Amino acid sequence: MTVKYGMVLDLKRCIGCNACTIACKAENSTPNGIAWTETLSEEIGTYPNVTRVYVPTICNHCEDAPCARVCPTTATYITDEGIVLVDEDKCIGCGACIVACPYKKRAKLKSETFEAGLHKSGEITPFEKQGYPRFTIGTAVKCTFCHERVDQGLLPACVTTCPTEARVFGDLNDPKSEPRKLIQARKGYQALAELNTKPKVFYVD
Amino acid sequence: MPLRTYDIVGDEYRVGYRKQDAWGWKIALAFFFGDVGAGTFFVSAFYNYMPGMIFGWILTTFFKPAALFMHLGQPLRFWRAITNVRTAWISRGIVGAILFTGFGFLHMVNLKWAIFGPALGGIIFFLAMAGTFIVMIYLGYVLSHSPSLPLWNTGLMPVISLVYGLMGGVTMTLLFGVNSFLAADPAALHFLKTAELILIGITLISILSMLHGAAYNSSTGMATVRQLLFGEHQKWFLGYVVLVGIIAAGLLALTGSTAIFILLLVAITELIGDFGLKMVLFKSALYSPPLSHSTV
Repeated sequence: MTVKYGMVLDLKRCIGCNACTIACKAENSTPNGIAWTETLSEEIGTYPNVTRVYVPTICNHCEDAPCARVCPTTATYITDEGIVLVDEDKCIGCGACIVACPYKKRAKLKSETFEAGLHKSGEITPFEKQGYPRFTIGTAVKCTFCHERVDQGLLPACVTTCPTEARVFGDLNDPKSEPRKLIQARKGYQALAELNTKPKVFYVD
Repeated sequence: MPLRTYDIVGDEYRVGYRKQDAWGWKIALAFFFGDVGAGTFFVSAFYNYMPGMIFGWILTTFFKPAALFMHLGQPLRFWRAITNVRTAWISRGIVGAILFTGFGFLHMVNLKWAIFGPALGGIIFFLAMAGTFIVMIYLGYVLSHSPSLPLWNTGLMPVISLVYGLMGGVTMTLLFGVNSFLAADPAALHFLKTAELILIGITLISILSMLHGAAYNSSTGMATVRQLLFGEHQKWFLGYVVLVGIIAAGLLALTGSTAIFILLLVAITELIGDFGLKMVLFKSALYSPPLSHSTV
């Protein structure tokens, strides 16, 4: 059976440190204002009975990805392993995919972002100089599940970095994989499942 | 104890409604030029009214792509946009625009110089009209095709898109033609004046239905509608789209006047409403929170 990569996000373990956000940025050299994974917070209840929940978000690499459906150039495509990627050579930067994503996990690269740099001073750091050439200005970008790392048998940067092991990555087609076991044991569910995009990122409480 | 509600959070790292910010005035302008241009050609073509057809053709063939090029991140790759007609409504719309541009031009040439025979001329006319129809309606399918934004995800969107295109076509044809072909054809003038009023009425009902559907579809839809009626986008929506684009245009059209000044005012108010709606649809659209843990 072909591999189908997915991820489980454990809301009980997530402490909202956003180390995943920084790890992703370090690994992929994303410019200012673009974060392929973010951990959102939500306050529940009213004082004095208040609690805070952290909700890590990432591209869901949907099986029926609306971003791939609406892309007029087929720049957004789904690999055999189920990873949704963007071919920057084909992308025309129309933004239809950004608009179509229900999770708002795509972004368009703007020239002014690169010109200003991470410190918004116009000065580009050595880190940015080595990372920015991989991008094409004007195109759409998104989480790639660190497919280059995965191809080498490594885990995505956000998964490796998470201090509480709140992120579990693996083959959803393998019944013995960690994500599959977690989903079954703790009744994993998907974000906005009713939209029928068939996300491959699951949440467990 | 009050029920929990979500805020519009923008880019903050909080669970809440997020704003659509990828599409703005440039692509709204592109769709606007396409709508009005295709609509004007569509209506004028039924009366073989050449100035109307030329105006519509120029608007869609030059102004629409110009605005689109301003929006695209990689405009020199624009030709790739027709490669996914299988699933992408943008590709289908571009194919429609190409049909309209090519066969619309041939139709105008044929009308002027009768180069093609009746059979071929008929096919050319049909393909040109098919192209204009696609250009008028495809924005609605582009918006409704994606499930991400409750305000857009309605079957009414193609209807609204088409009606605005036709309305633009009727008002522009009336404006251009009132002192030429319409002066000699009172039946056509009466038909177009009536059609104008009916289209304004359909627009009003469609927009009200769209709001109603969005408001009772989900909490995100309700939050979006509240923005339009009471919040940040109230001025644009109630002011430009409803008051100017529908009510003022409707009242002016109801006078039945064929004075050039009145027809010009009707056209201006209608076009303000058309562009205003596109802007407000793009600016006000909200994404649902990815997960919700609403509790009392």
